[in-house]
Amino acid sequence: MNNNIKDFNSLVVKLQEYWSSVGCNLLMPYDLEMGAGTFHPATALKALDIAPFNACYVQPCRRPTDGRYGESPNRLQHYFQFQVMMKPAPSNIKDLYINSLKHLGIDVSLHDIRFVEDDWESPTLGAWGLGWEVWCDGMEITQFTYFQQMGGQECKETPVEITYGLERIAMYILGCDNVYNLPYNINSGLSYGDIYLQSEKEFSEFNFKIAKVEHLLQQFEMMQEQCNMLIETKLVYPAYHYAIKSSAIFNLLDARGVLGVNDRALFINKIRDLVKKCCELYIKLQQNKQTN
Amino acid sequence: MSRLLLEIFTEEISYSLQKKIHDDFYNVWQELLITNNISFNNISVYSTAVRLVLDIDGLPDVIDDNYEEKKGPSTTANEKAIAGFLKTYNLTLEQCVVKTTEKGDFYFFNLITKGGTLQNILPTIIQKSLSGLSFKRSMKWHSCGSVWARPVRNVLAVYEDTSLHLLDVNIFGLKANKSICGHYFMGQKNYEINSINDYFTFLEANYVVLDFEKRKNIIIEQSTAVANKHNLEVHKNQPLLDELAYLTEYPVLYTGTIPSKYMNLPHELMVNVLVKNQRYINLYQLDGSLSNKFIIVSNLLTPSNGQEIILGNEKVLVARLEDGLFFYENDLKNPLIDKVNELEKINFFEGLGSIYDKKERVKDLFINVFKENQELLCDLYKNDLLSYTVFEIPELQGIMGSYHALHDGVDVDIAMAIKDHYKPQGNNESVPSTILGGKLALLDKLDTLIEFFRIGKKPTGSKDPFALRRSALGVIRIILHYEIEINLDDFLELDLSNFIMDRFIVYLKDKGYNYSLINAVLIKNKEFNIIKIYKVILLFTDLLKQPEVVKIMQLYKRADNILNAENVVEKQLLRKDLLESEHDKSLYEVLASSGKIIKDYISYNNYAQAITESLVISKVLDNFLDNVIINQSENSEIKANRFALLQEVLLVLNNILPFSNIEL
Repeated sequence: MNNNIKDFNSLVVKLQEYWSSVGCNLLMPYDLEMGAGTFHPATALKALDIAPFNACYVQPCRRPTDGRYGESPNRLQHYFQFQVMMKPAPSNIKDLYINSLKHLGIDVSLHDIRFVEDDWESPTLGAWGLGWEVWCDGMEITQFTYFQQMGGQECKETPVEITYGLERIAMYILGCDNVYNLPYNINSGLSYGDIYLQSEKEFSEFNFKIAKVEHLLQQFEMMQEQCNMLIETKLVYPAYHYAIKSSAIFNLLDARGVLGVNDRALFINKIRDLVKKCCELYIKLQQNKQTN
Repeated sequence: MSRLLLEIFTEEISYSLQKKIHDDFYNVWQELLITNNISFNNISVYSTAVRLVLDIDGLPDVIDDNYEEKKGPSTTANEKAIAGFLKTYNLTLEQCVVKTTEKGDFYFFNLITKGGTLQNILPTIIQKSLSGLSFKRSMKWHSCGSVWARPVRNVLAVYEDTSLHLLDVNIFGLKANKSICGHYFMGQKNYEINSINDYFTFLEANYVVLDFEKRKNIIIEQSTAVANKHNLEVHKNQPLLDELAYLTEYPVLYTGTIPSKYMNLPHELMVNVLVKNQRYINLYQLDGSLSNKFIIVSNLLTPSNGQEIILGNEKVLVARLEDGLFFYENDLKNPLIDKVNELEKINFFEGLGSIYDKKERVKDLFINVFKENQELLCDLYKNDLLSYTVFEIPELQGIMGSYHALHDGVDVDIAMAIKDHYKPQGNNESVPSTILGGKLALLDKLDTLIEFFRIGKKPTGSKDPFALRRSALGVIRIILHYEIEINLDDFLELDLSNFIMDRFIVYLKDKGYNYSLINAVLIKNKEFNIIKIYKVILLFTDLLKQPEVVKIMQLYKRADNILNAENVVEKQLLRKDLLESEHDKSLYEVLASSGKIIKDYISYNNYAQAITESLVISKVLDNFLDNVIINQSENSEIKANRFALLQEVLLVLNNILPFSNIEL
């Protein structure tokens, strides 16, 4: 059905090609475990100031509780998002997005594209925004959000975030029912499963059963301490780096099933608090930069 | 005459929000036109997910200055009042005139609202109308700081007399123009209209059905046609139809097919996927079973007659149903009862133990309240909380347990009780459909109430985070529906039975029962037996429609008034030897005989008979009050004895109801 996308690789390449052609800086994935591309400082921190900034990047995401030991055809504890962040949101952003689908070879005169209301909120980031999930013939292929707040701070210039779930879109375009059967690169002949299945199985095992809880709890405390110390020394990027780390540790603890409802809320509060402080510091440093 | 056309073109706004904007916009305009003294013929508002359109015709070309005489304070008023008046209208005293009225001299002045041409006046009103709307949740998208439900991308603002004029409107960081877009995927973009009629013609030709009702009708007619073609029936789901009519500017219906391997999945699971997730219209066989055809309401007419859309949607549906089948089959692998010990893993609430503890408490309640042993039911009814299916689709809790139980060969009674035990969730939802389900739902809710009250988590003011009011209402509705005879105060602490009593009173008031009657019945009530109280209220509501019963009430009040007027508070001694007239004697006798009978009837809760008996008293009492003038009694002893008679009347009738409090 599609001449542009032949495998997982070409999907990534096409998206990068398109969004960099409309002026997004093609960034690299952030080198930490995170639950979503939004955590990348290029989105989370850059959403806060007024300087124009456009970026796109692939971000590997880890959601330990979603692990299925490689047995689910479409649910993974480790998967990839393609993230676009544009600030301020261009007034023709909807056209830009639809053009990206065309660039992927989706014929919009044959497929029913819909914007279905889906407001977004992240308790750990202290963030919310309004937007949609985009449906193509009844299948959700993208999240489209105008950020209103990040780290409890109002976004002065409204950024728009567009997130494509890469495996999902690839499965859709390539007509593949099982993520592990996705051709990863037709020239290499390897499938997605050839590359990621074993890791998926082992990490599921690790996330749910093996990860040592007392170490995680200690690590969480240490990350918190480090982050707070960095905020005091006004080093915002390293501070935020440790906030992300503590969030990843929390996700593991969650998967280990050791957090009760109240504990869970407590951990989330602690992370939100760190993120909030980082965001405040970021704004302050940006303002100082401007006045100097 | 002139006509105004305004189109606010946005990114997609959800149905519930746009519907409210639509209605508010109409009202705001009506108000603005009236307050600005602008006459008009008709206001039409149209909306789709991306458009809000206003069309007003019959507007005057020029709006005259408007004079309105305003009356100010009296000339003798203090300085402060006069200064305040001048400030309100931004006047000097010289601009006012003094006129003499009946009440003295007052300041008057003419308030002038400047008129002008529509071209000058409308832009201000348009700005006002757009800033005069409020949203449940609004957003910013632009540095201009405007807010709306979703980003506004174009504003068309024109008026038309003999020709079309652009209005000078600047809003949302945009300058209004004459340009519009058709359907996003099928229509022409950036078309400049040359008349207002041209606007409507263009949209029609460019795949936009502007009128919501028209879009809804297209969906209804086409889905009915599909159903008829396959000899099926459409499931009429109004909220879904409304939503679909807002999700599409040009609804095109396609029919998909569900592969037969999924058709045996539980009906509720199918509906959840088809309707709630995918927003398809489901179709039914004439025998009421779900058909394997479903309708996709798309927003696109394709050259291939929707072939790709149907294929895509069927694929998504199959993936979801495949998940459902996988979960369901996995759940069925082991008997439901096997999960019972795992219930310990699920917390009911911090400090209130696990769900295992809860079902054990409900087991005990069954024995204490109903003298029934429901071991198996209680060991089964929460187990589906551990199923894959409920983990994935929480709203199927209860329902999946029921299917699982039936699959295991458990009695239908038990399966039905499991299915219904969360009912009734809302005011409009039905109560459980079987008596066993009713009892289980009742005790499950009662346990929740008892436990949360025990740890002091009672609702306060508007805060009711554990929906305890809803639980209490559920308890009440189940008791009433199944006429369950229990005295709640035998099982409950005082604060909880008071709480349920309060909800009961609210329930009765909402149902329209007379508040004074409710209170009168409750004052008399000694035990908290909801169904008993309800029956009494029901009975008296009917009885008090009968003139002779109203008469009893009136006589009661008359007797009561006499005693009050004479300040008779203390109990008077009733002496047979002081019964002076025939009237005294008759009343005495009837009270003695009927009084005892009434008491007996009341002790058996037979209020209807008690009332019939009181009619005997009523006749004699009526005579007595008409013929005996107590104030003119021969001496004070006889007078006192007559007070005693009246006190006895009240005492006897009070056994039935304290009538003095009733206001019809």
